[in-house]
Amino acid sequence: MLFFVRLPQAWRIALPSFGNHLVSLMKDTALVSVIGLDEIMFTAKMATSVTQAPFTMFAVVAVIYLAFTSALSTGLRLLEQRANRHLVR
Amino acid sequence: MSFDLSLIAETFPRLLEGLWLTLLLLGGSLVGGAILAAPTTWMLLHRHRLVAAPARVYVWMFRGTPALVQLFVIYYGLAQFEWLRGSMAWTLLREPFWCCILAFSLNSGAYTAEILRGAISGVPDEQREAARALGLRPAQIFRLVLWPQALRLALPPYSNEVVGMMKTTALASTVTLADITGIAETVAAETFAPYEVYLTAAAIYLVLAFSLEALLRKAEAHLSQERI
Repeated sequence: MLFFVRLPQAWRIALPSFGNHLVSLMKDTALVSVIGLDEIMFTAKMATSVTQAPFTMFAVVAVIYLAFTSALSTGLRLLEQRANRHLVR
Repeated sequence: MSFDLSLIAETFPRLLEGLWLTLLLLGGSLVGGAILAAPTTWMLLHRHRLVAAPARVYVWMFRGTPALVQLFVIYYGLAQFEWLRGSMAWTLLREPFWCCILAFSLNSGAYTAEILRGAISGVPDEQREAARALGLRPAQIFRLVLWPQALRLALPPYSNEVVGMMKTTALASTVTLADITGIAETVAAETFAPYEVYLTAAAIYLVLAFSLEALLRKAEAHLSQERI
């Protein structure tokens, strides 16, 4: 009952807000650089001190994030469409 | 490890000194965001794709990247351009405070525009049709019919945006500003007691978020009364 009746219906309602949460969590990963972990933001900061081109470096980081969040939202939209497929005819 | 209560009592007034900067950043960004959101919303709702497209790109860019990256592009990035460093604008843009205001305003503007777009298109079409049937001009339709109803729809998501922006201002500490988080960092480095200091800072943010929410709930209640 849980798997065939309730979950498919709950999933449909939960998916949009879950998706938003996922995208904002994705963006929060940039904060990790503040405590010194070696992710893109941190690498960009290091690269800046070598290349002397901070705008280019951080713009690249922005583009990478943009690609990830866009891909994520597209995937989520597809999932939503799938969850709602009984409604469109 | 012991938990030092007297240290919290000592730290608290120092952190409160950062409160006004946090509030100033929040207020500045929200005002800047509102100024940017107005034309952006107008563009987003425009019939012609060519007018709507730039606004869509702006919203997509600023909602799709972390606020920290936006802040760093502006604070560290702009120095790359010789011509900008020679210009008048540099007197403002070399200050971390104005970089924060600019970055957060751009960020808030994108989110606010999207909220307003959703709210205005959330007003039932019949309302616009009825207003037109009464012979109202487009400006009147917007001012008297669409806007009051859209405002009611926009306020709940906008209060989320206000609280979210309040938390975003903590990023100002990464560009050397002494807001609540910035001061907490300094005090934690002095006292070697990060636990007490950051928990106190968190408590201040919590109270701030709670007060903002209460304030906006009041505004919502005020607007939801049918007073026509």
